[in-house]
Amino acid sequence: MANSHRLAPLGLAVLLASTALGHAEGLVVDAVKPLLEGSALSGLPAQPVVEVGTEAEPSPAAAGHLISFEQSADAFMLSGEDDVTLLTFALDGPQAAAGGMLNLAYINAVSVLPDTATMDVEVNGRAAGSFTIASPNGVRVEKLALPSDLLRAGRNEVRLRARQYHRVDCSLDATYELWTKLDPVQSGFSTAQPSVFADFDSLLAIGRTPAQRTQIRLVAPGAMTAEALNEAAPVLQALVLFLNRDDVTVTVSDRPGEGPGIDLVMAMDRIGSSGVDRLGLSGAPRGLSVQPGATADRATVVMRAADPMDIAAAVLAAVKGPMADGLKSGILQKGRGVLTVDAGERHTLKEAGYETRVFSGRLSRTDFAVEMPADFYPAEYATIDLRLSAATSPGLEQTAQLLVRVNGKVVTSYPFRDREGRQFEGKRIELPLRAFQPGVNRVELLAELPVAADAACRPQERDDSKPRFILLDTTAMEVPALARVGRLPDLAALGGKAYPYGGGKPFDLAIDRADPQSVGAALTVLSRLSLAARAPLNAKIAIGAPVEGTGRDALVIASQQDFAELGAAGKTAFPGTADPGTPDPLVTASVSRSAADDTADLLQAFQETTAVHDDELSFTTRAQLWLSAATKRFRHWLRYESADGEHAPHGEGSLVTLSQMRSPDGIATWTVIRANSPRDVDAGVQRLVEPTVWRGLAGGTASIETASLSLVSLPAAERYVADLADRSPGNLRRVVAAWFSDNFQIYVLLVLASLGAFAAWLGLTVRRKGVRTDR
Amino acid sequence: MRMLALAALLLGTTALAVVAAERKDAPDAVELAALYYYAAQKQQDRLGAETSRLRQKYPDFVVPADVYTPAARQVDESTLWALYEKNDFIGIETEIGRHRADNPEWTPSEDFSTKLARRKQRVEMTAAMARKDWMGVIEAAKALDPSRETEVDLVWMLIDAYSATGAKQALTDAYRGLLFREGDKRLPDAQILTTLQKSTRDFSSEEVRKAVSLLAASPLLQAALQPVELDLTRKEVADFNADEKRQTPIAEDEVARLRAAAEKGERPEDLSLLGWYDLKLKTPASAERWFKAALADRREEENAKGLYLSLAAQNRQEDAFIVAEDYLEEFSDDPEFLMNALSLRFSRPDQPPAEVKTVTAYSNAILATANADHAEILAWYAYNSGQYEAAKAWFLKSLDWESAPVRVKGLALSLMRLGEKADYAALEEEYREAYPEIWAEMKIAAPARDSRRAVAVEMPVVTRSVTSTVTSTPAATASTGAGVRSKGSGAGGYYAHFKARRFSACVKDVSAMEARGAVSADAMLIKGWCYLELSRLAEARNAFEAALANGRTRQDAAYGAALTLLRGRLTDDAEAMISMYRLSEKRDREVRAEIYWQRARSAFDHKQYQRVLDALNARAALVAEPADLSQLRGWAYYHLGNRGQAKAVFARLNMHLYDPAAARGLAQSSVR
Repeated sequence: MANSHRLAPLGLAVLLASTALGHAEGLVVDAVKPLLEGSALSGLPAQPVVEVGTEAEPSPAAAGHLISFEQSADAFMLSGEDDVTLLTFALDGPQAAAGGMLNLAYINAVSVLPDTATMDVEVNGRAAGSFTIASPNGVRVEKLALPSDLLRAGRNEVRLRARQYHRVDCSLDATYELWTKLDPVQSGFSTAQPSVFADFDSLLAIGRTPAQRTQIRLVAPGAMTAEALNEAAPVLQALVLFLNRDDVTVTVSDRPGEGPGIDLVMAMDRIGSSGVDRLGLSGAPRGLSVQPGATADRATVVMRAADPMDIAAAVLAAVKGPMADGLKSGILQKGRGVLTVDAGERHTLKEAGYETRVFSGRLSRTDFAVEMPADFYPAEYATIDLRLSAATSPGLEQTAQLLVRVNGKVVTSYPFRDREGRQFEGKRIELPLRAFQPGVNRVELLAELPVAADAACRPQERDDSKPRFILLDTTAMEVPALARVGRLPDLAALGGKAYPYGGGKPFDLAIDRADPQSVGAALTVLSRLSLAARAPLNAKIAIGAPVEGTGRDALVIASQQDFAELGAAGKTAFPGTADPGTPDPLVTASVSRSAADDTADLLQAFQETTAVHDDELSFTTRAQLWLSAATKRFRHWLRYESADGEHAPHGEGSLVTLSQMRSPDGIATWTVIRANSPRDVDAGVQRLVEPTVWRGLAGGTASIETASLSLVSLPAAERYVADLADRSPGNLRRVVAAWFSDNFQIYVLLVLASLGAFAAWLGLTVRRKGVRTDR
Repeated sequence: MRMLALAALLLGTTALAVVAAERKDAPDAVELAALYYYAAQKQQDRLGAETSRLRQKYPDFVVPADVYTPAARQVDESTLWALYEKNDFIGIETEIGRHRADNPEWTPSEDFSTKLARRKQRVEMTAAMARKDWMGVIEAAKALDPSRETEVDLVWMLIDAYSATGAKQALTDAYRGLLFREGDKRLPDAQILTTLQKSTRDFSSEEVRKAVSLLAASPLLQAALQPVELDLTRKEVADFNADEKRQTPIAEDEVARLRAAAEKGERPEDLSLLGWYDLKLKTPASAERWFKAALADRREEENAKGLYLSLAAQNRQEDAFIVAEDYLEEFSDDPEFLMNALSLRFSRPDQPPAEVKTVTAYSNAILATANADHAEILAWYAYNSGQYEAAKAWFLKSLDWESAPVRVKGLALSLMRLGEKADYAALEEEYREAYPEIWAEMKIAAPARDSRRAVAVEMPVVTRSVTSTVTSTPAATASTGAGVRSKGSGAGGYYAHFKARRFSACVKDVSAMEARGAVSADAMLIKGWCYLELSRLAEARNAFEAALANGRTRQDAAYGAALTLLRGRLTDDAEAMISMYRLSEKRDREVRAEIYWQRARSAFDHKQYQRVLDALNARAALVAEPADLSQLRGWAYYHLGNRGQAKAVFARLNMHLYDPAAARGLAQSSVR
């Protein structure tokens, strides 16, 4: 075949291209560069370079359908000497029974020594084979036959472990040049049985768009009103949580789409049977159901209901019924590299999905995510303890040590001084709390394990198979009692935990105009937030500017610059916010349950705390409102703050700006996504919710630059206390301690003042009583 | 206990399964990848280490000579091929540029370059073909050798292009190259057949027959050539039909074969072809049969026309009329034909009454063609059926278009019947001198002879603007209108007539005012426009010149006079007129453009090509040049011997829009 010979030196182009970019930068950068560019693989032709079938059978399944992995693109990277990644794909019953091929298309760093580089594949906890990593020149597709007994219907887990060593450089730095990257497009489970989208579980196998996004298209016939969006929101969130994918893009249209993706059709009774017929869904049962889409790779989720209560009941039924398994194996499943911790808890690495493994390289890297409570106060009042259970082998250099990196910064190191090898059982290593942030934190345990032979690195003396270190899965994190106070703005807490919108707290989602792009962007953000919160959010969508003075938090999607003026001008009531069609909750309270209770049920189904939805302003809210207004006026007098200094400006070169601020009335929090046009909102949000960008959210303001599409975070100028849920003395004490650790000068002054006071008192007392003369 | 287990784990050396690295004689691409990478990175120590590693593994290993200059082997063309598959030539260019930037000596592989050139050629030719840019096709096919090309469809495209541009010699060469290949290069029979079928379009039947006789060596091909024979006959018949001068019929046996094929109904076009053939041979009965058969297959305007004509030729007027009535809608595209066909019903008194739609179609056709004769026919029809209002209107129309005594008479009669004495008197006044005889007859005129029931004749309400070489419509001159309207209403409404495009009435009104003595310059101006519209140029000129006297109307009058002079081809007078009286810039430009155009035209007619160019250049300085003038320019260049310029002009024209004339010009100017 003419193709093969010209495709053979494929990967070099990638490498050469990458080297051209990185001459001035360090070696590490050189080697990592192609990885940073997510498109390094996607630019390559779709056909595999070398077909490496298992000799046994040239299976017909090879020409079948490829069910891609559910993870988004950045899970496909294995870097360092020994790395593990966990991937999942979903099968239906017949597919699992038929078996098939696991396609792993990969390319590896050129410095990976081909002699010893191996990839071990484990499917559903059982070994499924391994292969040599040897494709530095281009993408190569490895195919492993998976018999039916390895597979199961529903989600299947693939654990890949790559062990790779450097060809010529035995230094620690050189281990960063080692990587193997899977191509998300060509990798997956290849089966002869096509996916039939007939039930919820089958949705998990839905494909991605060419841009590598999972598309959900909200199909709502008729005008796009706040009512229609509020009806769709719970269904959409349930669907997103069920899919458990962090690359979901929501678009809005009045007709179904084409290509891979899901159409979420809101076939409400008010569109009439003719409307349902026009959508071709007259056969769909009432409630929530799944139908095949227009094309083979598209699915349709249909909601047929009469009113919001109907919808809530249908979603609840689905969540408790057909969706339950998927939710359990997906969003509610623990141990996929994430530790969700809370004050006073102890968690082992095993809970994060780590499996004890013997390490025989030079730099052992183990990383996992730690999800801290969203309202914890990171300061120097306590430490998180890492209880290290591990062992080192004899013969390590003096310089061997364990480093702990939190969010990219080295926070502590522990030297392995014992050259004879040592075992640690629950050795306490203190991690300062200040290194952590509310929301998701990336923790890396780096064991630097040089031996004497590494300096010379002679091939004949190398033995990469000799173990040097073992990290046990009983290694644990102990979280102390935390100071709990919600300090905002904090986009890290927003990105990681959807704070302050999670926990069933009702909030407003204000979209300033109801064009498809703005609405799509708003729903995309809502979906991403509910995924971060791992629960549906109690959002009330309104078209127009957010309403002040309700004490409710708001998420604002604004594509007009003059939004800020609208808020300042006191224009509160927008026509979109008032729904004349819905019954007055006060008058009809006795006969109809309010929609909030349904959300609460839904939340219950997600094992979350419920919150009482209170439309009326409570006394405390009124008091807070009054107090806030009073302080504001007072501060204004003192010229501490200007009247309109609240809004971070949406800068010139930014596509979209995400900023969090106190609402103008001062008692709620507004998060505003602002851009100059709906098109910008759409494009900016697409970029914002990309997993790598979303993870990088921090500070008080984040913007996506127009030119480079890169994320720029600005720290919050001033933080304010948004929430103090725990008012126990213990917590208050910790909050005060934390505050003093942040404001050390005041603490010193206070101490000095106390000392002074004591001295003064002493002086006074002594002068009056203390002097006694012996006669 | 646990300690022991851990120690065992750590000491065990089997933890890592070393993949058995088969000792081969030479390292493969995977082994060598890093060597090239380090060399490209100029990492000398790593290069050395890697070399020694490879030496240890492969004792005979020597560092490849091209390790520092991996140009040819290292550049990976797969991205190029991927782009090639997508026909993304721009992408390929950028990609090659990128590689070049890294490595200036590098060129894409021979295989890729040739294939790319071929693919480019095909894509360009197909695209040019699709937009009928024949020069583009020829240009793209420059590297094509018809006598050796294996992808025959490319040559066919080229042949189409040559044929469309009329490059006879090149066309012949292309055909020769395809048809007369020797030995194993000879094309498959199917392709030869298609080529021959194509050739029937471009060559006379004798020439094709000659080629066939040369080629038809194999009996298989002989049999296969049957359809080509038929095609040839078809072509001959079509040529015969199209050529008005040819009268000698084609050999009957050939036509008989075609007739037989047509009877079998293979191609409906044959029926129509034979119909026209028979019609031309004056055997209308047989033509009628063919056309009827063709129409049974499909309603088609041409065939219906043929049927109508064959029936008319058999003097079966009534049947013919029924056909015309049946195809009213189709024929409305050709109002001339429709008008003639329908006039039967109206022109003779012994006809049955016409249907409403027939009357409508007839009057529409008359209005569309501005045919005075038929307007008169319809007017008489209306008159004879007692519809005097309609008769008057149609007589007026026909008079507007063309004056004739019988029309004046008809109008006078209609007015008489309507009892419009004043108008009658005015009419008599106007035409007494011109047609003295009719007024005598008028006295003894009988009332309408025929009071049979007839369909109401429509009034000629909407007239399409009468086409003129000068594009401006005088009604659009707002300034004039404003000046006139103030007094126009009182002055017999000549302006209203003008606005309503009743130009004769307008002229009449103004003339009547003149007779009374006092006539304003405005009125004279309007009279001029009306005369101009009636194409009574001398009178128009007089009227305009009269209006020139007044300062207020001078500009408009000069404009009108210039247009009138231009219409009368008095180009120099027109130029004198506008140089004497200043016009507004827009009008000046318009008139000048027209002057230059006429100059160019007349210079071209007199073969003074340099003057053509001068005029055109002067014109191009004023307004954009339309395609037909560009063509004139091209030909002027051509005749001046400046072929390069001519070719450029035609090529540009050809790029914008396919036009056979331009293509011909291009072909001419391209051929040496």
